[in-house]
Amino acid sequence: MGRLINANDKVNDHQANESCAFFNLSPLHSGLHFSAGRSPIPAKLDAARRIDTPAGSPMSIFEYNGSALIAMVGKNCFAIASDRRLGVQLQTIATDFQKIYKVHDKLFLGLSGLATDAQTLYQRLVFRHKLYQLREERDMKPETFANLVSSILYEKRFGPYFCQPVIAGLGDEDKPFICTMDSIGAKELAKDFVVAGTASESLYGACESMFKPDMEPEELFETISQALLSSVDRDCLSGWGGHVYVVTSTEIRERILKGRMD
Amino acid sequence: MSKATIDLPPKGGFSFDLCRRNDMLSKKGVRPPSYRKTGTTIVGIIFQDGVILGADTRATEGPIVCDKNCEKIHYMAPNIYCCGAGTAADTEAVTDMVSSQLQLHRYHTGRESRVVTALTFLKRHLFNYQGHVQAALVLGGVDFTGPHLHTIYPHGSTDTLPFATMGSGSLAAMSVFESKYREGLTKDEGINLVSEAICAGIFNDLGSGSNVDICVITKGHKEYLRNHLLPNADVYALKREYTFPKKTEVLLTKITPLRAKVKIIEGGDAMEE
Repeated sequence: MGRLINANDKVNDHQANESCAFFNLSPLHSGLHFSAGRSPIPAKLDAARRIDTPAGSPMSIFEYNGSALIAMVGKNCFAIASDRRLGVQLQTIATDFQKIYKVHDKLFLGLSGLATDAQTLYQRLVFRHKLYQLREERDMKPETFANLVSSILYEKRFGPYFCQPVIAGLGDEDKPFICTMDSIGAKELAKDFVVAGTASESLYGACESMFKPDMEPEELFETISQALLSSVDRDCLSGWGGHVYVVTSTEIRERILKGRMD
Repeated sequence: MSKATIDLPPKGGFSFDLCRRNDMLSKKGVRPPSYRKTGTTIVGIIFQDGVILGADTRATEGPIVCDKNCEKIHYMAPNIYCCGAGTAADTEAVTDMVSSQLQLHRYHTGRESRVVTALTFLKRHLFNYQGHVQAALVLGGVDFTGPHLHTIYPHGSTDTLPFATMGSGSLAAMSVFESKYREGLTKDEGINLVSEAICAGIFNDLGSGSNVDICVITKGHKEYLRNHLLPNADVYALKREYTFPKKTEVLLTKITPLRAKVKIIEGGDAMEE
């Protein structure tokens, strides 16, 4: 059932003593705050090469590039929206960065988090989907695709991709499906909206108040755009416009929004 | 193309390719990500006819509630269910994996699964990963030897109990059980007791919340009562609609019509004799 592994095995020999550190971990009790499974001994920080924020506090890897993603369900349609900024910490380097990818006509994938992992993950998923299309001679259903993404992320449980995907699609009988996951593949299937990215806390609040069930495509577009723009306006790391896809069974409407460019 | 980029279907199990890179990042001072947890109150009791499992429905990501109505009672076998606390991805993956193993085992043996089989699969997997797979589980079911209830800790130790609680709300729920549990409860009494214990967790523990899910397993029959109690109904939502005085400005619109995919069914010709 899998061999005994040392998840903290260091590659360098001179740090071999650290690999014994995990045996000294105190028993983790259920329910209480768990560490993220890493060695409790702090890693030596090379001061000359630190990725440091001006504030000096340790930065979360998800805040390196910055992103904001929402997906919402409407009446026989769905909408998925993202911001357009690509930054390296506090410096913006692109204002037209694509975060939402089309997997097939009725399935969209948004990837927030570290941009390099997002692009790598997207390429792997497109590869797997194309193989699936060749074997099955049809497109993948959104539920199946969500399971695929979840497995690929969980495979890297102890050395994860720093990405949070948002999946939106039309399933059987064009029933809208949305889903998000954390970076190790824990699926959250919601019936109304899902959010991801650095602006997620504002996004939760905005969507919670603006969302109504069973919206028509035009109203859904207005709601998701307002929720996105008002949330990213309160987040330094995302913004510079918006990119919204509204998908019904007959068409895909892609719109670029004008937002604050700061 | 280097070997690393060929994405052949993996042989299963974990892959550690990104560990070196992630280690390098954490040495540079980058905090590792926090994972979605199920803060949780999960409970189980044995009553006169079988087992009742209960769980709350809140999933948290740090201090934020990311899912107000998630499912924490996972299916393992037609007669066995398992509640999970801890890192959400780990509980889901471990219960899915053992559920598949139990299915294969049923095919091999031709018999209904036993609860101790599920228990052994789970504890072996968790011990193997020395607690790094952070799943704390309450496993309950009824097989031909009778009703069973077990708790499994992330490091792989197990307990067999008449009533059990796990998760951050376990103390709140255990206080209810210790005062009110007795042997030989009827089904309704059992459901009420479990609901009360979960509600104690929901209202007193910050990591648990929303609704109560219950699963009743008896010999040859199970009842999954999803959202059995909704003590936190959304009554404060705005009744009037949200109107946007200023419409969103659109810079560019692109419309792609979707062609309906036509299925071509080839009418075969009769075979030539």
